[in-house]
Amino acid sequence: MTGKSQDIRHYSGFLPISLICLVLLYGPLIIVMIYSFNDSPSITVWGGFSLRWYDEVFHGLEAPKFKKAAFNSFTIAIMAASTSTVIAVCTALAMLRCGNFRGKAVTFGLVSLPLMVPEIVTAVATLIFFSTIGFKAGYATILVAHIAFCIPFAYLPIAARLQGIESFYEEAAVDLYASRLQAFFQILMPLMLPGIISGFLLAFVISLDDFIITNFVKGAGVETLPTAIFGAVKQGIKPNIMAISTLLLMLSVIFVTLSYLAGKMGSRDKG
Amino acid sequence: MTGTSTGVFSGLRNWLLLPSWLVIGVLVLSPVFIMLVYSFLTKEFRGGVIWDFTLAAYDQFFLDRGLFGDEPPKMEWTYINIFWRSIWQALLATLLCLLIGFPTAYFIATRPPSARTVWLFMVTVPYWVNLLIRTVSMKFLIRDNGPVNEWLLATGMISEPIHLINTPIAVQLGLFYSYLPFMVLPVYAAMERYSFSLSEAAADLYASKWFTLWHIVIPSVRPGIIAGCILVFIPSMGAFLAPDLLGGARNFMIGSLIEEQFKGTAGNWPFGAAASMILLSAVLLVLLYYTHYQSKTGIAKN
Amino acid sequence: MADEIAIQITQVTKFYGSGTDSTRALHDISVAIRHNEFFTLLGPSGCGKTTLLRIIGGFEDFQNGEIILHGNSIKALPANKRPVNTVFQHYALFPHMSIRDNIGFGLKMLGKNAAEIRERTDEMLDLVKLTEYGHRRPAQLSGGQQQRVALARALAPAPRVVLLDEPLSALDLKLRQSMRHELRRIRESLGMTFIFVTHDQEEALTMSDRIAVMSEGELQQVGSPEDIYNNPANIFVADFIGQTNLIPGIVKATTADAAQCQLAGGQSIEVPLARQPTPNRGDTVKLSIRPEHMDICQPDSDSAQITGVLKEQVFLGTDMQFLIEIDDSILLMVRLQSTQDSLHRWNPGDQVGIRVNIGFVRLLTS
Repeated sequence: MTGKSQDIRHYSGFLPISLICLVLLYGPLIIVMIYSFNDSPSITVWGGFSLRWYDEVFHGLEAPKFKKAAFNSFTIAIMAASTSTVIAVCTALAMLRCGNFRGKAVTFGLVSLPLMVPEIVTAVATLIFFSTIGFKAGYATILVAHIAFCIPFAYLPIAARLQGIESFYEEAAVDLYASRLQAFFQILMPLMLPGIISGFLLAFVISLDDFIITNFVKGAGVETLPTAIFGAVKQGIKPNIMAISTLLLMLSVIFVTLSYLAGKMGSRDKG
Repeated sequence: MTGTSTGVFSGLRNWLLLPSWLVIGVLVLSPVFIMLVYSFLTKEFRGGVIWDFTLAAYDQFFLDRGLFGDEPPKMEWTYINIFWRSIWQALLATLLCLLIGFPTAYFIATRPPSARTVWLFMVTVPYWVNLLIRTVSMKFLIRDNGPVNEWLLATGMISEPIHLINTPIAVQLGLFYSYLPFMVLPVYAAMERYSFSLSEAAADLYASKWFTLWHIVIPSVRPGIIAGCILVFIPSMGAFLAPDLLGGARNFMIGSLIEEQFKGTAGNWPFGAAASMILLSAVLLVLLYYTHYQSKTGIAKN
Repeated sequence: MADEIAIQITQVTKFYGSGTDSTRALHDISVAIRHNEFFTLLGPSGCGKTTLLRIIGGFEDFQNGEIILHGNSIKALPANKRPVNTVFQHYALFPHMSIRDNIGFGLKMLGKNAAEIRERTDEMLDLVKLTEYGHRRPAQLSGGQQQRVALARALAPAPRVVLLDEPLSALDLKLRQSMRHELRRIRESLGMTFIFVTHDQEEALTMSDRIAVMSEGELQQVGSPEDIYNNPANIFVADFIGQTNLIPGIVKATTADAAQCQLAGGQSIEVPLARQPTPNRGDTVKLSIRPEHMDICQPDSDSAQITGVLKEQVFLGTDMQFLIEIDDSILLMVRLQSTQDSLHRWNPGDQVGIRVNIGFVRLLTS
């Protein structure tokens, strides 16, 4: 190959489009991050670097409201992600380690249903369901709805990981007198751990980020971070919202990095 | 052979399936069924239902019987138009995502492995960032007095701010921006499995590059393209945040219409349920086509 | 004691799937494996040998039959209750555990105390000559070392029977040859029953006390390596083990100790029946003649039993191989050691005579 134009894999124009893709994906986020450090109260005029809006997030007039919302968001996300991860691990074991059985395809369809159906439909259905059975809207309804919604997100990375682990590991464990529980907890689970971690993190972020379902089932008075932000945005985009957004954004970046590292840890262990 | 052997955990299969069956059955399947029932009930004015079965909700969606309901029925275009606008916006967003997403996925797949990881990581990060925050960022960016307009005015490229917010273009931009990673990732996954020796073989047999792209590369990665299109189309169709925050009242999509039926006292639960059922049916049709396509071409699920 | 039966397999049959689309994996397998024996299941891939091994290990169900281990049925026992350990084809060493922990895993699961586990693990590391490697992870060892760890792990709980599923197939040729020795040495020093699965006949012939040849889910022949090689029970075994010429023929006449056979093409040969069953007159048979059981001589010499035309000669290193046409479509392969002086006496196209060591000729009907 003497040059780029000789490389039959190379199409001129694809690099600029890829760069445009990145600019489109990151541009709005980066600008919001920059403006969150803007000293000027006018949100479009640059008035120098400042952390005042971050200070306001934590100590300002609306701080208690956002702190309460953040508390709700995080506690719900932890509980929903843990529960859905446990359920996803069980389901993955049944789907990938128990041979073929009737209803396997149906189960896969059911588990991935929340991924396929528009979120607003799930939200409406869940709201109507809670109202029919008389489950009072609030913290608990959000939690329960999130558990169901998070299962497919936890399931996919866990199942992908389990698929890559040959079944002779648990066979070797059982061959060496381990019970099924011992074979799972001492052998299979440590091997699945990278998948379990990324499944948990994904479910956690999905729960933390969810707006539509939460908005439907939360009832009056209970807010999570997204619903609180949405409510505030309806009054206009204020700098403190940009500060909160930046914080949440950084959190997401941390999580995706962690999940990426978990995956890397997995590929190193595989050999 | 592993598929037919007796797995170590086979005996526990039903116990292992129980939690997901229970949770999905109770919290996803039965709600959808109840929603179907609700769409045939009579609305109550405080937001709720009366258990009288009626077709009123669907009637309201499709037919116009005048203000007092006593005129001969005509087609009611308001909701059909909203529905149509949703489909149209979703299709356009899918097309735009494909136009940007396919070259990007292709470009990433032709990088050396280490650079590939970095690119993939870069494309994945926005997927993890809160959709609400991303939509708000877009709203902030394209406002009449937002950074883009300020900058264009300052450089003298325009003399009047470009009015984007509360237009269909803003909604389109929001949808496209929201779901772009959903296109890149599956197309990339398919590209990664594509063997470039096929391109080389085509070039060897005197095919031009663009002929090769169109007749060799794209057919080979078509399953990934279709998966990407579905992953963009379905959430775009039911989107709520982009039309609500960027489109305003005049650019309603079906998501906003549904949401309105469950907020406050102006709501109409049976009508909202009916609209949701109509949206769900449209989505299931798309998915049905997809599974049909999959089984026809014999593409495995993984 | 030496003839005590370790495992008695009786009429084991297994199907995959059910109803009309079920496929037969094993058909009516009955075999007795003796205590302290190195027993090999040999056959091409898909013949059911691994399935049979996995059934003994407890990893597969089967529909009919019985398996008795030292007098007790193990049919209903789950894998973790069977005093049988497996060396898996890809070793299946637990990647997140040290070598010591891998070897000690079975003892730990059996509830042995720490001191006992330590002692036995040391003993095993010593046995497989990996004493210094105990604290490493499996990924830090070479293929051959991992193989020995897998063996040590299976031996540590002192099972009655060790199952080995193509344990050498992932190693390169040199390593494979030295591991054969190693396996035999270890088994002899411990006195355990080894059941070994392989598709490699050389491996089977060099290591085993007895071999069971399998094909398409059925047992073809059970016997010592020499027995299997020299007295193949049927065409499949003759063809699968080593190289042989299978020449179609018809039995023209039989006496008490010999059969007169006419080969395709018209030539006749007399085959002694001392070590094989007497065929019926008129039977169509295949004569199995190994290439090394023949010699080439002048066509008109008294010792020439068959004559033909030399078509091709190929130098193989230690041997020289000759292809001789004895009829339109029948080529006979003859192999002579390359050290013989007479090697270059013949040229392609020459009429040659073949001297057959007829004591080794088999008449096979199926």
